[in-house]
Amino acid sequence: MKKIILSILTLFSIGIGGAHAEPPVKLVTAWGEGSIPHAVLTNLSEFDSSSFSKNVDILGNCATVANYLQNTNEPTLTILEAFYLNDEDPCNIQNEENFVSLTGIAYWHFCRKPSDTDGIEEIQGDVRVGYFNGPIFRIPLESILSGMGSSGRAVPYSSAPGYKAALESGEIDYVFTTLDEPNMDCVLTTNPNSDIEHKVSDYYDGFFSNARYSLAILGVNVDNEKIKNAFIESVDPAVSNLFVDGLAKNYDLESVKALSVEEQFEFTNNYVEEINKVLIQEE
Amino acid sequence: MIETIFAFSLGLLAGIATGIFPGVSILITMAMLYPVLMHLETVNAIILYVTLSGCVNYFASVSGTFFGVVASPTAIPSMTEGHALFRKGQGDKAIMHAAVGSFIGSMIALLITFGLLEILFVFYKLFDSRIKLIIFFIAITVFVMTSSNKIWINILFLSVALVMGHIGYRADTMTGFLTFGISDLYSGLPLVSVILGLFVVPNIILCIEENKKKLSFTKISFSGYFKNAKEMLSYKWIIFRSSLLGYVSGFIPGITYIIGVALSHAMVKSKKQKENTYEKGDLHSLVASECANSSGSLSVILPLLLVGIPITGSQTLIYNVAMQSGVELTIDYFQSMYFNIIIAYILTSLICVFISGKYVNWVGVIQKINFNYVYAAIILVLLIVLYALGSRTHQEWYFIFIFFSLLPIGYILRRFDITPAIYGFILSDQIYLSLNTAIAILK
Repeated sequence: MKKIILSILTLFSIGIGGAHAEPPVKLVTAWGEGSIPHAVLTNLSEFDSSSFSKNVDILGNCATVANYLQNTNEPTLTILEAFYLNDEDPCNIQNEENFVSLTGIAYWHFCRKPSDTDGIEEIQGDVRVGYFNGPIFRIPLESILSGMGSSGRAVPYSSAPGYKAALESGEIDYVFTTLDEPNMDCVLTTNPNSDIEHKVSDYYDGFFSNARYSLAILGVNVDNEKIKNAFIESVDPAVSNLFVDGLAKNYDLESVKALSVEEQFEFTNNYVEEINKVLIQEE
Repeated sequence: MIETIFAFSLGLLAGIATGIFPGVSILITMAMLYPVLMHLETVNAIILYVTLSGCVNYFASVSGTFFGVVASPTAIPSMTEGHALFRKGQGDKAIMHAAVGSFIGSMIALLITFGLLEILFVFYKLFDSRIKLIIFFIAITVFVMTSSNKIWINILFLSVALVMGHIGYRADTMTGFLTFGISDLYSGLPLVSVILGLFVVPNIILCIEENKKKLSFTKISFSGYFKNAKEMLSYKWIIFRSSLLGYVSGFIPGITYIIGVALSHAMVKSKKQKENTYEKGDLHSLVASECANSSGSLSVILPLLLVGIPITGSQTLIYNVAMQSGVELTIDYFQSMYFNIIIAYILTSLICVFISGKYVNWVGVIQKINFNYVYAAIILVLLIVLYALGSRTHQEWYFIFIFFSLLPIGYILRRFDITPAIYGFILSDQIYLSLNTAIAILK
């Protein structure tokens, strides 16, 4: 009964949520429930429901979100990938004005269904590795596979559920992921300090041996410093498990906190340069 | 127990609202209910979802039959047949056949799930991207071969629609396709503008042109359902085949049951066309699509319940609730709550058949009005919905612009069967991605 009353009160509180003197910061995302951007923004909303909107609006693809941010007059916050390839990319709206912070730095793992076989031997052979479709994922994956002397193939999927289903059905042997998936056995990682036994850097010494992935918090019509502090407070392990054992637990927030905005920019730019080099070679 | 009743009741109410109002999807409703979902036990969150999605079918069918509007792409075939029947003065028959068809489709889906529970998990493993691609190509071939137009026209419609569906930002290349640097086009052509501009509004205009001002509607009764159910016994094979098609297509991630619904409808329609017995407003075709729709709406949740893989946005919410509660969605967990889901689903079907009947009789008062005014009001409401949906992303004028750009084309083509284009547009991305994945595997 208590839960039901709580649920009804929650519904009512949503209904009267618009009665603030200052408009709450609107939260928008390109990715739906189950994604890290959505989870981080929801966490922020729950942490400070008076300053942030109650709901996170899912708007479509990154270009729609970028377009939205450029057209809105309301205080608005979103999370997009930190790496977009060039200025012509419509999703590339990250600049010093709207950049708040990286959400964290995540390393990639090669994970499979639990098995007793030698994972490294498998990855160096004719293995099929699923990944989330896009050059930011494909290029590190293919570089690592070829750097390790593997004849494996990178297989694109449009979503994390897509490659998880493929792993489950046996269509692919591994997934290349930054998420720590339940029921998966991760055998190789780009994180040099991970508990996972095998590190990519032990087998390949190219740029992508410690490949990392980041998401950027971007805001318009907001006080960036205030938002950054709210974000850091909202993911404090004392109030949230998101970066501890939640969806974003593989995201290393401490290393981001140690970087200035300029250093964070440099990190993303170096990475994009390297991806672009490979793309130019491919052309 | 109280929480279960609460979840069930909320699912019913939300399902009714979602089915009645055009433009409101299950995902939008589930997102609005998310704060409530988070407080529910996982099994009750699942019951809420199953109840909601089951209920939507019944009420969307009523809106489609009466007003010629669609709540979702899966409702397109039943709307086409149902509204035509309504205009022939057989709205009661359309509603009751659709409701009974939905009910039987649901029950068949439950029976299949129950019968195959132990082996469904294995069955699921058979489907991979290559099989998905083959299914897409079978579906495309069926659309091309069975649509009322000449084959070359169908191929043209389909090809243009596949390209139109591909317009926008491509995540795989991080570039735009046919966007010409126009920022709004990177979002792609809005589905709602395309469906309204090419299909729904031209159909409504066609109805206005027929200038049939008064439409008669016979109120439906409880005994009428039994009478209609008896009539439907004569085409039990269509019912079974369609339910099976809907079930299988719903079960495969990345296919979703729109394929099953479209195929079921196309197969019946095609057969009757060959026999020269088909005309728009065909009860058999209506029942086929309703059975597939209902059956698919249940099987689509199975990948989530059996192996913990959410394949639609709304299912991801349930997945999150489970994760936060520490519940692992496995076949054992599914077996432990299967009985609760069966009860919820059967009750939903029974209650919705009854309530949607009451609702129909209430809506039936519009027969007293000149129906051309009703159509005009529907177009106005659809424009408001379009504007509201566009304003979510500050793209209200873009949504309206695309709609008005496509409307003249839709108007010119209003006497053609435009469904191959609609399905091509909707499935464009899925086909492209499946093709990419299959190529990467086969390389």
